[in-house]
Amino acid sequence: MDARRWIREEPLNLEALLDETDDVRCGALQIFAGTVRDSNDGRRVLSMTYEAHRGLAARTLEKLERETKQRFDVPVCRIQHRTGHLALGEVSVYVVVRAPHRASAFEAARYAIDMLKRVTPIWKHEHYADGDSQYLDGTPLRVEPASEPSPDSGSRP
Amino acid sequence: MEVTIEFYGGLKQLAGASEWTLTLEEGGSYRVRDVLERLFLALPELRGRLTSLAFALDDELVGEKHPLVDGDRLGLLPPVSGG
Repeated sequence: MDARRWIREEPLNLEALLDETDDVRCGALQIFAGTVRDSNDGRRVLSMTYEAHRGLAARTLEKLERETKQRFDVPVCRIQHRTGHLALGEVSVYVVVRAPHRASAFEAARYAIDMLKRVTPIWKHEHYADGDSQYLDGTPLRVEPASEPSPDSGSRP
Repeated sequence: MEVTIEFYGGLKQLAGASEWTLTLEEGGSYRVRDVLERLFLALPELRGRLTSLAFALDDELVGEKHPLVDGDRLGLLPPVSGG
Protein backbone atom coordinates (compact mmCIF):
# COMPACT_ATOMS: atom_id res chain seq x y z
CA MET A 1 0.00 0.00 0.00
CA ASP A 2 1.35 3.41 -0.95
CA ALA A 3 0.30 5.70 1.90
CA ARG A 4 0.77 8.75 -0.35
CA ARG A 5 -2.48 7.85 -2.06
CA TRP A 6 -4.23 9.01 1.11
CA ILE A 7 -1.71 10.99 3.18
CA ARG A 8 0.39 13.76 1.66
CA GLU A 9 2.98 16.07 3.18
CA GLU A 10 2.65 18.68 0.45
CA PRO A 11 -0.29 20.80 -0.79
CA LEU A 12 -3.11 18.61 -2.04
CA ASN A 13 -3.86 18.52 -5.76
CA LEU A 14 -7.58 18.63 -6.47
CA GLU A 15 -7.10 18.57 -10.22
CA ALA A 16 -5.22 15.29 -9.94
CA LEU A 17 -8.02 13.80 -7.85
CA LEU A 18 -10.62 14.93 -10.38
CA ASP A 19 -8.61 13.50 -13.27
CA GLU A 20 -8.16 10.22 -11.40
CA THR A 21 -11.87 9.89 -10.65
CA ASP A 22 -13.33 11.02 -13.99
CA ASP A 23 -16.33 8.78 -14.68
CA VAL A 24 -18.98 9.37 -17.34
CA ARG A 25 -21.42 7.12 -15.47
CA CYS A 26 -21.70 9.92 -12.94
CA GLY A 27 -23.77 13.06 -13.31
CA ALA A 28 -22.90 14.38 -9.87
CA LEU A 29 -19.55 15.44 -8.49
CA GLN A 30 -19.40 16.39 -4.81
CA ILE A 31 -16.23 17.88 -3.37
CA PHE A 32 -15.65 18.60 0.30
CA ALA A 33 -12.55 20.55 1.26
CA GLY A 34 -11.52 21.27 4.83
CA THR A 35 -9.47 24.44 5.26
CA VAL A 36 -7.61 26.03 8.16
CA ARG A 37 -9.70 28.82 9.67
CA ASP A 38 -8.52 31.76 11.69
CA SER A 39 -10.30 31.12 14.96
CA ASN A 40 -11.34 28.36 17.29
CA ASP A 41 -13.10 28.62 20.63
CA GLY A 42 -12.59 32.36 20.71
CA ARG A 43 -8.86 32.16 20.09
CA ARG A 44 -7.11 33.66 17.09
CA VAL A 45 -5.43 30.89 15.11
CA LEU A 46 -2.33 31.62 13.03
CA SER A 47 -1.66 28.18 11.61
CA MET A 48 -2.19 24.47 12.14
CA THR A 49 0.01 21.41 12.21
CA TYR A 50 -1.49 18.05 11.35
CA GLU A 51 0.22 14.88 12.52
CA ALA A 52 -0.66 11.34 11.57
CA HIS A 53 0.15 7.74 12.29
CA ARG A 54 0.84 7.49 8.61
CA GLY A 55 0.44 3.78 7.97
CA LEU A 56 -2.69 3.36 10.05
CA ALA A 57 -4.21 6.57 8.66
CA ALA A 58 -3.69 5.37 5.09
CA ARG A 59 -5.30 2.02 5.84
CA THR A 60 -8.16 3.74 7.63
CA LEU A 61 -8.90 6.10 4.74
CA GLU A 62 -8.65 3.31 2.18
CA LYS A 63 -11.19 1.33 4.19
CA LEU A 64 -13.41 4.40 4.58
CA GLU A 65 -13.43 4.95 0.82
CA ARG A 66 -14.58 1.36 0.25
CA GLU A 67 -17.16 1.53 2.99
CA THR A 68 -18.58 4.82 1.70
CA LYS A 69 -18.90 3.49 -1.85
CA GLN A 70 -20.70 0.37 -0.66
CA ARG A 71 -22.95 2.08 1.85
CA PHE A 72 -24.22 4.74 -0.58
CA ASP A 73 -23.79 2.74 -3.79
CA VAL A 74 -21.57 5.38 -5.39
CA PRO A 75 -18.85 4.44 -7.88
CA VAL A 76 -16.28 6.95 -6.63
CA CYS A 77 -15.07 8.08 -3.23
CA ARG A 78 -11.54 9.40 -2.85
CA ILE A 79 -10.10 10.93 0.28
CA GLN A 80 -6.77 12.66 0.79
CA HIS A 81 -5.48 14.31 3.95
CA ARG A 82 -2.48 16.56 4.27
CA THR A 83 -0.02 16.51 7.18
CA GLY A 84 2.58 19.01 8.31
CA HIS A 85 2.29 22.75 8.87
CA LEU A 86 -0.58 24.53 7.13
CA ALA A 87 -1.25 28.27 6.84
CA LEU A 88 -4.69 29.85 7.16
CA GLY A 89 -6.92 28.95 4.25
CA GLU A 90 -4.87 25.98 3.12
CA VAL A 91 -6.69 22.73 2.42
CA SER A 92 -6.20 19.95 4.97
CA VAL A 93 -8.48 17.36 3.40
CA TYR A 94 -10.38 16.57 0.23
CA VAL A 95 -13.30 14.20 -0.12
CA VAL A 96 -14.30 13.62 -3.74
CA VAL A 97 -17.45 11.66 -4.51
CA ARG A 98 -18.98 10.95 -7.89
CA ALA A 99 -22.40 9.37 -8.32
CA PRO A 100 -25.02 9.04 -11.01
CA HIS A 101 -27.27 11.44 -9.11
CA ARG A 102 -26.76 14.19 -6.59
CA ALA A 103 -28.66 12.81 -3.58
CA SER A 104 -26.26 9.96 -2.93
CA ALA A 105 -23.27 12.14 -3.78
CA PHE A 106 -24.21 14.65 -1.06
CA GLU A 107 -24.90 11.94 1.51
CA ALA A 108 -21.76 9.94 0.76
CA ALA A 109 -19.46 12.94 0.98
CA ARG A 110 -20.96 14.03 4.28
CA TYR A 111 -20.68 10.53 5.70
CA ALA A 112 -17.05 10.24 4.61
CA ILE A 113 -15.88 13.46 6.26
CA ASP A 114 -17.96 12.87 9.40
CA MET A 115 -16.49 9.38 9.80
CA LEU A 116 -12.95 10.53 8.94
CA LYS A 117 -13.04 12.87 11.91
CA ARG A 118 -13.94 10.01 14.22
CA VAL A 119 -11.76 7.15 13.04
CA THR A 120 -8.57 8.48 11.43
CA PRO A 121 -5.37 8.67 13.50
CA ILE A 122 -4.63 12.30 12.72
CA TRP A 123 -4.19 15.11 15.25
CA LYS A 124 -4.56 18.89 14.98
CA HIS A 125 -2.02 21.11 16.72
CA GLU A 126 -3.25 24.71 16.69
CA HIS A 127 -0.87 27.68 16.86
CA TYR A 128 -2.31 30.89 18.34
CA ALA A 129 -1.63 34.58 17.95
CA ASP A 130 -0.58 34.86 21.60
CA GLY A 131 2.26 32.42 20.97
CA ASP A 132 0.57 29.48 22.66
CA SER A 133 -0.32 26.22 20.95
CA GLN A 134 -2.34 23.15 21.82
CA TYR A 135 -3.40 19.78 20.53
CA LEU A 136 -7.16 19.73 20.14
CA ASP A 137 -9.39 17.36 22.09
CA GLY A 138 -10.79 14.65 19.93
CA THR A 139 -12.54 11.31 19.61
CA PRO A 140 -11.06 8.19 21.21
CA LEU A 141 -10.32 5.42 18.73
CA ARG A 142 -11.77 2.00 19.42
CA VAL A 143 -10.31 -1.33 18.43
CA GLU A 144 -12.76 -3.73 16.81
CA PRO A 145 -13.44 -6.88 18.87
CA ALA A 146 -12.00 -9.17 16.14
CA SER A 147 -8.61 -7.53 16.63
CA GLU A 148 -8.28 -8.80 20.20
CA PRO A 149 -6.42 -12.14 20.52
CA SER A 150 -8.04 -14.90 22.56
CA PRO A 151 -6.98 -15.07 26.20
CA ASP A 152 -5.09 -18.33 25.44
CA SER A 153 -2.88 -16.90 22.70
CA GLY A 154 0.47 -15.80 24.03
CA SER A 155 2.67 -15.62 20.99
CA ARG A 156 2.83 -14.29 17.45
CA PRO A 157 4.41 -15.85 14.39
CA MET B 1 13.98 -7.63 24.46
CA GLU B 2 13.20 -4.10 23.35
CA VAL B 3 9.91 -2.43 22.52
CA THR B 4 9.74 1.10 21.20
CA ILE B 5 6.81 3.25 22.26
CA GLU B 6 5.78 5.91 19.73
CA PHE B 7 3.93 8.89 21.22
CA TYR B 8 1.38 10.60 18.98
CA GLY B 9 -0.40 13.92 19.24
CA GLY B 10 -0.18 15.62 22.61
CA LEU B 11 1.40 12.57 24.20
CA LYS B 12 4.72 13.73 22.79
CA GLN B 13 4.60 16.72 25.09
CA LEU B 14 3.76 14.49 28.05
CA ALA B 15 6.66 12.16 27.31
CA GLY B 16 9.07 14.90 26.27
CA ALA B 17 9.98 12.83 23.21
CA SER B 18 8.39 11.27 20.15
CA GLU B 19 9.48 7.79 21.20
CA TRP B 20 10.97 5.77 24.03
CA THR B 21 12.60 2.37 23.89
CA LEU B 22 11.87 0.05 26.80
CA THR B 23 14.14 -2.86 27.62
CA LEU B 24 12.28 -5.86 29.02
CA GLU B 25 13.70 -8.98 30.62
CA GLU B 26 14.45 -11.78 28.16
CA GLY B 27 12.48 -14.96 28.35
CA GLY B 28 9.21 -13.40 29.39
CA SER B 29 6.06 -13.05 27.33
CA TYR B 30 4.66 -9.58 27.23
CA ARG B 31 1.39 -8.00 26.18
CA VAL B 32 0.57 -4.38 25.53
CA ARG B 33 -0.76 -4.03 29.08
CA ASP B 34 2.57 -5.18 30.56
CA VAL B 35 4.43 -2.50 28.65
CA LEU B 36 1.89 0.12 29.69
CA GLU B 37 2.43 -0.76 33.34
CA ARG B 38 6.16 -0.15 32.85
CA LEU B 39 5.38 3.13 31.13
CA PHE B 40 3.09 4.28 33.94
CA LEU B 41 5.98 4.05 36.39
CA ALA B 42 7.81 6.71 34.42
CA LEU B 43 4.70 8.65 33.31
CA PRO B 44 2.08 8.32 36.04
CA GLU B 45 -0.10 10.95 34.34
CA LEU B 46 -0.63 8.50 31.51
CA ARG B 47 -2.52 6.04 33.71
CA GLY B 48 -5.38 8.49 34.13
CA ARG B 49 -5.70 8.75 30.35
CA LEU B 50 -5.66 5.04 29.65
CA THR B 51 -9.35 4.71 28.80
CA SER B 52 -9.01 7.31 26.05
CA LEU B 53 -5.91 5.79 24.44
CA ALA B 54 -5.69 3.44 21.48
CA PHE B 55 -2.72 1.28 20.51
CA ALA B 56 -1.24 0.64 17.08
CA LEU B 57 1.05 -2.18 16.01
CA ASP B 58 2.04 -2.92 12.40
CA ASP B 59 -0.44 -0.30 11.16
CA GLU B 60 -3.38 -1.89 12.95
CA LEU B 61 -5.24 -1.08 16.12
CA VAL B 62 -4.69 -3.66 18.85
CA GLY B 63 -6.02 -4.14 22.36
CA GLU B 64 -4.25 -4.30 25.69
CA LYS B 65 -4.05 -8.10 25.56
CA HIS B 66 -2.15 -8.17 22.29
CA PRO B 67 1.23 -9.93 22.58
CA LEU B 68 4.47 -8.09 21.81
CA VAL B 69 7.77 -9.38 20.51
CA ASP B 70 11.31 -8.03 20.40
CA GLY B 71 11.60 -5.04 18.11
CA ASP B 72 7.92 -4.12 18.09
CA ARG B 73 7.01 -0.45 17.70
CA LEU B 74 3.84 0.28 19.67
CA GLY B 75 1.99 3.50 18.87
CA LEU B 76 0.11 5.25 21.67
CA LEU B 77 -2.75 7.15 20.09
CA PRO B 78 -4.69 9.83 21.98
CA PRO B 79 -8.19 10.90 20.87
CA VAL B 80 -8.12 11.96 17.21
CA SER B 81 -8.92 15.31 15.65
CA GLY B 82 -8.26 15.09 11.92
CA GLY B 83 -10.27 16.52 9.06
